[in-house]
Order: sequence, then C-alpha cells, then structure tokens
Amino acid sequence: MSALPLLEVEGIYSGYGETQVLRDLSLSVGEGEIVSLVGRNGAGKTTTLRTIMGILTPTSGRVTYRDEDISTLEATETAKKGLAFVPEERQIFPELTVRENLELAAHGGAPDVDSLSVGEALEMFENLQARATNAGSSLSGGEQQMLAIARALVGGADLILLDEPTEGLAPYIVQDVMDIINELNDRGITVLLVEQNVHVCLELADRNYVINQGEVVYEGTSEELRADEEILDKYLGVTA
Amino acid sequence: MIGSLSQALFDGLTIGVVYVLLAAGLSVIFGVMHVINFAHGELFALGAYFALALVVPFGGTAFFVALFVAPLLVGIVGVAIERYTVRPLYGRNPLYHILLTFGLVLVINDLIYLVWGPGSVSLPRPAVLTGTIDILGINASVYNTFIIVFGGAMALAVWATLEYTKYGLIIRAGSQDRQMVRNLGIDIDRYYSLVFGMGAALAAFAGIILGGYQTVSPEMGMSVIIPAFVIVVLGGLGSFKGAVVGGLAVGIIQTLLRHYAPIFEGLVIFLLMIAVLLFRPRGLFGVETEEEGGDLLTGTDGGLLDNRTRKRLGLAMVALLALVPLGAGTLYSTYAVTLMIEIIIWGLFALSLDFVMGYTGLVSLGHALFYGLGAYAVAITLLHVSQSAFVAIALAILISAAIAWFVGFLSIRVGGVYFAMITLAFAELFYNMLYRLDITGGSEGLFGISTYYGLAGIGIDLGDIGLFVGPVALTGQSLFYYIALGALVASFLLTRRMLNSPFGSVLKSIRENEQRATFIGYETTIYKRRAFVISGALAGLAGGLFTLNSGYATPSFAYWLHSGEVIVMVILGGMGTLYGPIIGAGVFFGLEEILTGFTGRWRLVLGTIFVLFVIFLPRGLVSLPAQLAPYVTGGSGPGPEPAADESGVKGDD
Repeated sequence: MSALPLLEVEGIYSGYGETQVLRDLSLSVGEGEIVSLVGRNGAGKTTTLRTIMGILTPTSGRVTYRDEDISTLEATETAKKGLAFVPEERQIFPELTVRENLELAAHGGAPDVDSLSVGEALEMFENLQARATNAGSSLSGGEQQMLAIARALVGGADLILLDEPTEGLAPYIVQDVMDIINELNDRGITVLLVEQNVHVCLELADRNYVINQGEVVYEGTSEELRADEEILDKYLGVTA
Repeated sequence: MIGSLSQALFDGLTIGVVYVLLAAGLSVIFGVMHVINFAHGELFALGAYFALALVVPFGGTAFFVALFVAPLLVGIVGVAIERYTVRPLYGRNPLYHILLTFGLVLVINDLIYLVWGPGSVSLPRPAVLTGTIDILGINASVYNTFIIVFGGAMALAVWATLEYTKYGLIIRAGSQDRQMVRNLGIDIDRYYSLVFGMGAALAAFAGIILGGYQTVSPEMGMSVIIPAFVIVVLGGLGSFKGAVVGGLAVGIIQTLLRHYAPIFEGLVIFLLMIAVLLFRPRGLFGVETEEEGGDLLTGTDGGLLDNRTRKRLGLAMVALLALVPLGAGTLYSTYAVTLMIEIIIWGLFALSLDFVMGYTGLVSLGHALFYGLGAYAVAITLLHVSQSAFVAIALAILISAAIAWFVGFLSIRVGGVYFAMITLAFAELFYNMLYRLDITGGSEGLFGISTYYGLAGIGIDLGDIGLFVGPVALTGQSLFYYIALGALVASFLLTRRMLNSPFGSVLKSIRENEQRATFIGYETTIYKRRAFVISGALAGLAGGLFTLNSGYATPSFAYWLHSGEVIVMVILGGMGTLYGPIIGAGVFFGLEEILTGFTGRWRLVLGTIFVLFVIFLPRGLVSLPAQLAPYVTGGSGPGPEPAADESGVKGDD
C-alpha cells in the first residue's frame, strides 16, 4: 500500500435482521487510492458499503476513518466526515430538478472538505448542465449516474463509496463513467468501488479485494489479479 | 340561476380554501414522516378554541392577533405531540401511528369539552370583516372574500416556502427518499418536529377562519377530519399540489351538491375516494413511496401458560360468565346483565376484527360498516320481512358476509395504509347512505322493533317466558345474555378451529411475510379475502345481536369513531390472540363504567391509557404477565404450571 490508510475495516460482521451477510470482513483503503470490491451477486459487496456508510451497523468489528472509530455512526454523521455513498439505484430524487438535487447536496455533506459549487458541478458534467431544470425522473441511466456522482462532489467528499456505477449502462457510457472516476481520483478523492464487471475493476483499481460469501478471499493489485486465473475462474467466473 | 350558481361556487371556494390549509399539513406530514395523523382535526378545532379564548375577552379586533397567536400555540402543541408520542414509534409499522393519533383524538377532544364545554359558540369577527361587497356581480360577504384572499395567500406562502427555501427543499426531498437525504449528511429527523408543528399551525389557522365563518364546536374536528383524508387521498398522499387541487375540488363539489342534489352530498366524495384508491392509489399528484417496514405486534409472543392451563382458564371464565345473570337483582342490580351483554357483543365485534387484523395484517378502519350492516339487516328484516329472530340474524350474517366479499374483492389488492383508507371510505359511504335512505329511517334510525325466537310464526318472546334456576327466574335480558354468550363462545371456537387448520397456517404466513407466502404458491389475496368475509360476517352478527336486544338501529353504529373504538379494544387486549380483544372490550367498558362515576370525560382517561399502551405495551394486556414475569420473584406466571414449558406455547394460537 502506497499511501496512509484512510479507511480501515477490521473483522466486521453485519447484515439485515437475523441474516448475517458479512463474516469477519477486513479491508483497508489508502488515501488517494482506487480500491475495488469484486464478487458475485450476493457476496456482500453492497452490504460492505452500506455498513461503512452507517446505513447498517456492524454487529461486531470496527470501521475506522482517519483513525476515528465510525462503526456506530449513522449515515448522516459519516457524510459530515467526508464519506459519500453513491448507491446502486442512484437514488436521484425523482421530483426534484437536477439543479435542486445538487442544491440539496450542498445543504448537507462535509463542511470541512473541499467541495464543488452547484455551478462548478454543472460545468464539469456538461450533459447535466443542459438538463438542469428537468426533473430527476426524466434523466437516462447514465445521466442519473453522473448526477449521483456530482451530488457527492457538491456535498464534499474525501472518500466516495461507489456501488455498481456501470450497472445497466450502455458500453460507451461505461467508458464515460470510468473517465469520471479517474478524474475524481486525479482531484485527490479516494474511491472504494463495488463492481460485478471485473474488467472495469482491473482497469480502474490500484488494488482489488475479491469477496465471496461475506469474506475476503483474495487481495491484490490489478496486475496480480489479472494473472491469477484460478481466482478469476473460481470466484468471478471469468477466464482471462 | 347564473347568480345562484356563482354564489354556490363562491361558497364552495371559501370552504375549499379552508380544506386546502387543513389538508396541506396532513399531506406533508404523511409525505415526510409517513404518519397518518387522525389528530389533525382536533388541532384544527384547538386553533379555533385558542382564538376564541383570545377574542372573547378583548373583542372583535383581537381576531387579527388570534389569527397569528393561536396557530403559534397549536404549532407548539404539535411539536410536543411529535416529540413525545409520535417519535417513539418511528420504525414501527405505520399503522401504529394511526392508532396513536386516534388515541390523541379522544384525549384532545375530551380536553376541549373539559375546558370549553359542549355546544357551539360563534367566534366574534372584527367589524371590518362583516357586511357584503359586490364582486363581479356577486353580492359576496366580506368574510368569505377574506377567507379566500387571506387563506389563499397563506397557501401560496406555504407553497413558496416549500418551493424556494432550503427547508422546503429538504422537506420535499425527505418525502421522496428519506434514507438518501440522510446519506447526504442532512439530519432529516431534526425536521420532523418542525414539519409536524407547521402542519398543526396550518390546521389551527384553518380552524380559526372556519370558526369565524360557521361556529366553533367540540365536534368541528371530527367533522372535518374525514373530508381532509378524502382530499389527501384524492390529491395524492404527500403532495402539496394535490392538497390544493383536492381541497378546492372537494369544497366546491360538496357545496354544489348541497345546493343542487343534496341526496348525493356525502356520497360522491367517498365514491371518488374509493375510485382513486382503486385505480390510482397514489392519487392525482402523489409519488410512489416505499411501504415502510415494521411488523404488527401481536400478543402471542412469550405466553406463560401452556395449552391445557389456558383451556381450563378459558372454561372457567365461560362458567363464571354463565353465572352472571343468576345474581342479577339480588347480589347486584340487573344493570350488570345489560352491561355484560354490551361487553359480550363488542367482544364479538373485536374478535371479528382481530381475525382479519391480527392474523393477516389487514387493518380495517371501517369495520363499523359490517356492524352497522348487521344491525340494519336485523332491523329491516324484523320490520318488513319476518319477526323471527333466527331469520333476521341469518340475514344479518349473510348480508354482512356478501358486502365483505364485495369490499374485500375491491380493496384487498391495495395494501397497508391504502387498505385502511379504502375501508374507511366504504364505511363512511354507508354511514352517509343511512342518513339519506328512507328504508333506513334517516338520522332517526329504526326503532320499535319486536321479535320472537322461532320460525314461521311459531316461537317465543323472551319476555314471556321464565326459566327457574333455584330461586332465580331468568327472563328477557337474562335469557338474551345466554344467547349472546353462546354466540361469542361459538364464534371464538369457530375462528380458533379455522386458525388451527391449514387455512390458518396460510393466514399466519401472510402476516409474517406475504411475499414468501406468495413464493411458495399461495394466492394470498384469496386467503385474505376469505378471512375478511368471515370477519365481516362475525361483525354483522355482533351488530345484529345488538339490535335484536336493544330494538333499535341508528346511523352512529357505522360512524368512524366506532371503527376506531373497536381497534382500541383489539390493541388494548392484544392483537392476534382472539381472546385478547374480548378482554380488551371488557376493560374498555369496565373503565368507562368506573370512570363515568367520577367524570363525564372518561374518554380523556381512556385515550391517555390507550396512547400509553400503543407506545409502551403494543402487544396488549395479555402480554403483560409475560413482560412482568422477569421482575416478579420466582419468575413464574399466575398459572399453576411453571413458565418453563416454553415449547408448548410456541404452537398455540
């Protein structure tokens, strides 16, 4: 690991009600890194992000962010510390306009973290600029994804938790999203990315965690993972 | 003609503006917090009374001061209500908020009676708002114009706040996706008190301006709350725009009907409400919101007694009940029998509701519909068809079951809060019909009914015979007591038998997790409808028995307050147990009986107890022993068997 650890997850157990999804899961993300979590459907990827964000509370284990224990904090508080969650369903507010979606984010987020103004965000995402007064529900999947990311930037984020950002998008838009993620990283934002699409991970991430049934079964850089045919075949169903 | 039409439109608009202000708060509160606030009408009334208290000592001009001070005070009451009663229930099934706010209706309404007394008073208006002016050829009253202009401006201000301020943006976002607002680092929960307080203040404002237009009376809250729900449903739960359009529409429709087709007044809006719920449950402008989780809490968990002890206890209770008429007139007055009959009949009614609410999770807010149907079926049969009690009761059961099938067929496809609303609409539709039809005797109802027990003209009148048990002669009421008790016991055994059959297992699986029940191949709608029909039939039996005994039926039987009261009994006793609701009925009437000895305002005490139950003991009285057991030395319950035998309890109903 090249940089200082920004986020440290140590042996967390978490899930929904009586259903335990994560079992003794540990990972760490260094400042400025792009780290991916890959794994099959139901492996616990989204649950990991939701637990880090504070939407779920781990039943045991610890989540530390900048050396501070955030295990029991709720999403409202973790967001104030500079974490931003971009959910799989994007969760754009359908009845608010694009601009209002961004303005809302500006009222929240982390006060101590550098953030974009609404105007800057609209400049950065040109296709959103054109639709600033349209309702969130009228956006295409790709536009919604861009808006969800822009929202995180307006709130101010040091660590973005991205859940399946390319899911359901046309291939040429997938490339746009990947470019955006790289651009975020260039701005110094750390990214924890959940993906089912291994190729996206291999291309973007510095390091990858493969998770299966709620446990980390592999950790390695993209070069290492690309070379490890056994892992690719066994857990990801990919023949490289 | 044109003049009278525009006059009617003008009046309709006046009422419409009041409705808009009332419904806006109700709708936004639902949108953001998913709370159906039945107490909203009482906050409306409270506004009018606070204004009254300010205006009467200082005269008409104080009206303008009251217009701002009273809503502020009611807003503070609203904040307190949210903080201390509504807040503990977030995360539970939204139906608990319905129950809670229903309890608050009883409390606030009785407080109003207590402080200001019954009867209606007029709220003095300032001199400048009296008289008439000429607007576009209509001779309009200044006060109406004031309502439209000032109320309209108020609604506009609310709209602008929602649309253009930070708070408005957060509130609008919160009504679309609360969790995402939290994810953005915004503490939406902090805004709940604010939203509730603002809604309350708006309701109070509406109450004041209507109070100046009509009169101020303790019933004013109850009479507007149902139309307010109609408006919110029409416009779309959670939508401000919907509240505006719905409020104006309902105000104008109602006024026009009153002028031109009074027979349909009170019917059309409920038909509209039913139609909207069936074809477009989210209303005209509503958004689809996620149905929020939380289970209904039944009284079954953690029972202390095993099956055998429970059966013995039940038999002992029935035996004890059977002895009641024997002591009447000697050990205690004959009134005890009358009271016990009422408890038994309401126990049966509560049992019927529990069968559908406690076992399938369908909360019917209009169960008084079936009680009323049973009562009127008996009354009409006895007056026009046959004087045989058997025929009358059989018809009561059949008709209630048939209507329950029809209502269930239409309603069960919509779930949760929408089901509660649609059953409420059906009950209110029936209630309004009772007033308007000749065969139901209008507002007087039907009375002077006589009957005999037999068939085809051969039978007996309970008053004519006497059964001698030792020195005691049982006749009239005392004999009817056994009929009622028999009906209750038979209904209990029948429903329990059903619940222990495969049919019952499916019902319970629906309550636990309907989706999974569907996945294993059960068409849950059919099972729920069957349960609803049985429930309706038993409620009809209860209503029928009441009329059979009392000899009358009045529209109040089908009033929404009755539907609320029977839910109170079910929760008080313990939902999902069958016997709990019967105990609940006993406690309800027992409390009423004791409390009326001290105060006429027994609903205040009962409502408070109920509110505390919903917050602290939602599983009802029957869960009390199990909850107290750990604190009592020895840890065992009241029964002779030790509590250790948990496994025997699990499989019980």
